[in-house]
Amino acid sequence: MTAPFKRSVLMAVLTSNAVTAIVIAVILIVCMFFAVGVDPIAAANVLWRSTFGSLRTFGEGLVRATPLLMISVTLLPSLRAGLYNIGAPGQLGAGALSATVVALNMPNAPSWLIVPICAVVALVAGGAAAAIPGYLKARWKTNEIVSTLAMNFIVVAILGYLLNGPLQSDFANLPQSPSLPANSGLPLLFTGARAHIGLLVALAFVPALLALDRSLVGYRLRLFNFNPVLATRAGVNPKAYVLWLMTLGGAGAGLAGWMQVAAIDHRLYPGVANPIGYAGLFVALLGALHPLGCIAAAYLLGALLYGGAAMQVGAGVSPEIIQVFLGLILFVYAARPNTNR
Amino acid sequence: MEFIDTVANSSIRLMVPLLLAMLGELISERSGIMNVGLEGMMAAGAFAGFMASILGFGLPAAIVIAMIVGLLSAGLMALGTVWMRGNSILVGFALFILLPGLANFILVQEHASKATPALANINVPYLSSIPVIGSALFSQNIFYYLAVLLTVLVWIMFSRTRTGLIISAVGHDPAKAETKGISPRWVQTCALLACGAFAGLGGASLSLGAVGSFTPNIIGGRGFIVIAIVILGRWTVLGAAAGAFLMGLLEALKLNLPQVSSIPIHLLGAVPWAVVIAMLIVSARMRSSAPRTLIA
Repeated sequence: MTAPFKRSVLMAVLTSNAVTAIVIAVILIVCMFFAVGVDPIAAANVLWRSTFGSLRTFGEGLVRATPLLMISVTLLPSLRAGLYNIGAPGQLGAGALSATVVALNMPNAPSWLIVPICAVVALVAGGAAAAIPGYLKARWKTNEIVSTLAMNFIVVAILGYLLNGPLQSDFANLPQSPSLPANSGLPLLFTGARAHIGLLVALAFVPALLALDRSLVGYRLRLFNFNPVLATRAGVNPKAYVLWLMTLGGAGAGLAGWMQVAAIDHRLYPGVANPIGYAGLFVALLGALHPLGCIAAAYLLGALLYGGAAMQVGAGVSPEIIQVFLGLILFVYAARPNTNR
Repeated sequence: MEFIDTVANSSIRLMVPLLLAMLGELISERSGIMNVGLEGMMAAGAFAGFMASILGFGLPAAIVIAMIVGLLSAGLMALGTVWMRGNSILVGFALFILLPGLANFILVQEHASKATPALANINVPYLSSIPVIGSALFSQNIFYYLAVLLTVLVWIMFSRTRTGLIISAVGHDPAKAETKGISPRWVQTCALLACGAFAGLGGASLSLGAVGSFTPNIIGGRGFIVIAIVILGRWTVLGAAAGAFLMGLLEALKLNLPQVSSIPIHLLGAVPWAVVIAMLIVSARMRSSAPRTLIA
């Protein structure tokens, strides 16, 4: 899974497996639409109108793309090193939970104080939730796929406990927290759409990653990816790399969790990580493990997530089709020799 | 006393899907392929069995259909990993997303929201009236007896037959196996197909046996628990069966403890996963019996 570092960005996008995977997945989905008696042209039409139809719908796509971009760019370094951190939902939940607790306990703090504090707390919490499996991997070589997944279920259990108990809103019988104070909300990017400044935070990671590629750390990461034994000789401490790469991915997911509660929902609920937690991994893979590819893939998927809901109303297609589409893309992408570790 | 009875009975009942899926995962991992898509294959089997049941097929037919659909979904896994040489972890993860999504899509699109009655228990005469273990071991539904029978058969296969030896040989050293005239590709393909059939059966034991309906999150992470069970059981049938029982016991305690204590039910949901993590750490110290080509 070596990322195309040297080629031009356009070529990297056009020649990537991701584009092929999307094309094949679209063909299969169209076949499936025929099978269940849905007109694919009408469905595509609804999808198009509900994504590029107006500034508001465009903004809805951006809103959904923001956490996906956030998660995927911070996952990139670990994926390049062959670490499969699928714990983004749990790390996102940990970030969202800690940001909620802090915001609820500082109801009168000014916005300039509370917003950064929430962000940092969420970043630390998400990073910690990923550092546990990272440490286990570094120390005992435990399988990080199973351990990060176990963390997801543990975080869901903790959220379920808190939201049905100490954190539950007094005004609802649902498992959800009280509304966050208005001061903790994130400013919007433009009027008339819900896109928020979290998008800029996520975008800021893209040049940072590109710069990392050119730095000594980036060089060592590539070496580590290419040949761990050789990298050890060149001064790389594999255990520290495993720990920090995992923590970085978790920190990004934690920030995404903060954005979800502070900018979109303004309250915490158990399903906060659905479906963006797992979708972040797709974005990273679809983006051919390149930061710029992630931007394109994140918007594509964000628009699809919004458009999928619109398709139910407009074309009578259940939104579950999006999950099928994602699974097909990943399957076609993965079932190729060059994705072999 | 009644509490112990209840827990014993429900831990055996909850062990059944884990045991069935575990046998499949064990065969697949012994041949050198970690089937991360197990969760999806169980969902496919659970859904197929449920659909067959509400479409009017009888129970035996529904079970067979669940196994066939599980086997077909494992065929996708074999196609992606064995034949197209894809990364088995990514292909498995894709199936984990794809198959439940497909099941949910068809479920919602076709408005299939009926329920079938839960299966009756089969009592073994005399034995089922033994206190505590009687009702737990000798008064369960048909899937339990199937699971016990299949566990014994798979154990015999790995410990006594040439087939079991061939599967293990491929998992340890495919190149050497090939020099002995074995095709590693076909052995791995067959192992995966068997895994799919077992997973389908395990899924059906959830939708047909326990719940009597199909809900979107019916598998609830059991496929991944099974992967951890196989690792803890050190890739042996008996060790993994013990792991399946332990997980069944934890799940039963989660269901039954809140009635007799004040431990919050939501926090109990984290316990099996904490045990999974502990299992991973413990088993990391004794990895000698792992199939050598397995990425784990």
